[in-house]
Amino acid sequence: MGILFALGAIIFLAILGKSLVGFSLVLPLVLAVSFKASAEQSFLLAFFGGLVVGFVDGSLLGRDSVGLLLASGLIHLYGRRFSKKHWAFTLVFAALGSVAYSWVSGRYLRLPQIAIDAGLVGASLPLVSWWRERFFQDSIVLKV
Amino acid sequence: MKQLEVSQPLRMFALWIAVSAALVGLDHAGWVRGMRGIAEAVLLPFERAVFQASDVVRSPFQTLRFWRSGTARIADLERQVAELTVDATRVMQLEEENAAMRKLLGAPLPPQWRFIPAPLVGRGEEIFLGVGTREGVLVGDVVVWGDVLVGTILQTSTRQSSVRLLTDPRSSLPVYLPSSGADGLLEGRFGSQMVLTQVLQSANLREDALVVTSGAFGPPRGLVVGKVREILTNETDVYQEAVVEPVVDFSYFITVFVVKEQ
Repeated sequence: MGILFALGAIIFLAILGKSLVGFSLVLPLVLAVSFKASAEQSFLLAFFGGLVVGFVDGSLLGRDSVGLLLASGLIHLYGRRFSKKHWAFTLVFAALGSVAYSWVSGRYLRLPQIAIDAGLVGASLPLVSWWRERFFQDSIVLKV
Repeated sequence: MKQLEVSQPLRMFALWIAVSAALVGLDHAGWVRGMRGIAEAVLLPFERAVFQASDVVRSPFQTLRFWRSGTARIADLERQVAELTVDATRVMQLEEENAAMRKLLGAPLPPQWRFIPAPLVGRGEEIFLGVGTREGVLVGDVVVWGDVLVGTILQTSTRQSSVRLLTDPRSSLPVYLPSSGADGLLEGRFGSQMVLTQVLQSANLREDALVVTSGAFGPPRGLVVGKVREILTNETDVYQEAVVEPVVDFSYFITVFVVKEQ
C-alpha cells in the first residue's frame, strides 16, 4: 500500500514538475524521505524516482536515478548525523544533495533553484513523517 | 581468512547504482526504446492535460499583479509588436534577397522547409514538445514560432523531445544585425539572459536593433532571435557586448514548429 502510494506520488510529482512548475519535485521528495526513512527505502525510492523522471522527461534512463541515489547516499552518510545537531544542517545537506543531483543529471546549477529545493525539503519533512507513520510499520513511535 | 564486511545499506547503494548505470548503457544503445515508447504513450496525455491546465492554475497568481484584462491586453500588444518586428525583418530580408537574386540570376532557389507542429507539454530550463522521432524530429533540428527562433532540439525520444533555449549557457550561435550589418555571437547566460558578444568596436551597435541568425553554422539565416536591450561597451575591450531580449514572451506559447529540410 505504502509502496503503491509512493509510486503514485512520484509519477504525479514528476508530471507536475515538468508540466506545471518547471523544476523537479521528485528530488525534494527523495531528499526528505532520505532524512526520515531507512537507507534501503530511500535508495529504492531514489532509483524508481529517477526512472519515472527519465520516462516523463524523456532523458537518458538511469541518469536521474544515479543522481538521486548519490544525493540520497550523501544524506545517509553525513546529513542525518549532522541534522540531529541543528535543523540548519538539514537545509545545508538538502542543498548539497540538490547540487549532487544537478551535477550528475546535467541540470544547470542555479542558486535560486538550490534554495527552492532545500526549502521544499524542509517544508515536506513533516508530511513525510506523517506518511511514514501512516503506512510503514517500522516508523511507529510509542508515545507514553 | 577474515572476509571484508560490507554493510547492507552500502550493498544496496552499490546494487542500485550498478543497475542505473546498466540502464544508462542500455538506453544509450537504444535497447529500451520500445519500453519508453509505451511509457510515453501512457504519460503524455496526462502531461498535456496538466500543461493545458497550468494557465488556469497560474492565472490567480497573475491576477494579484495585474487585472486579468490588463494581462491579456499586454499579451495582445506583445504579440502585435512581435508580428510587426517579424514583418520588419521579413521586409529587410526580402530586400536583401532581392538584391542577391538580381546579382545571382539563375542561382538555385532558397531551400523549402517543412514545419512539424509541436504542442508544448512542459516548461523549465528547457521546453518539452509532444513530438519525437515518430514524427521525424531529430537532435539539432531548429524550433521556431513564426520567424522567431525558439531553440534547437536537445534530445528526442519516440514521442517527445526537449528544446535547448537560447538563454541556456551552453547555447552559442552566430548572428548579425540587419540594421548595421555587424556580425556577432549570441550566447546564453545564467539560463535567463542572452548576450551578444564578439561585435567589433567599429560596428554601429544601437539599442532596439534587431538580432537575427547569420546562418554561418547552426540555424538558417534570417531567423529573429531578439533585439538589443542594453549595450555593455567598454572602449578598452576588443569587442562590444550587449544584452539581447526576446521579441516574444515564450510563456504564452502552446504550440511551436520544428523545421525540417525537404
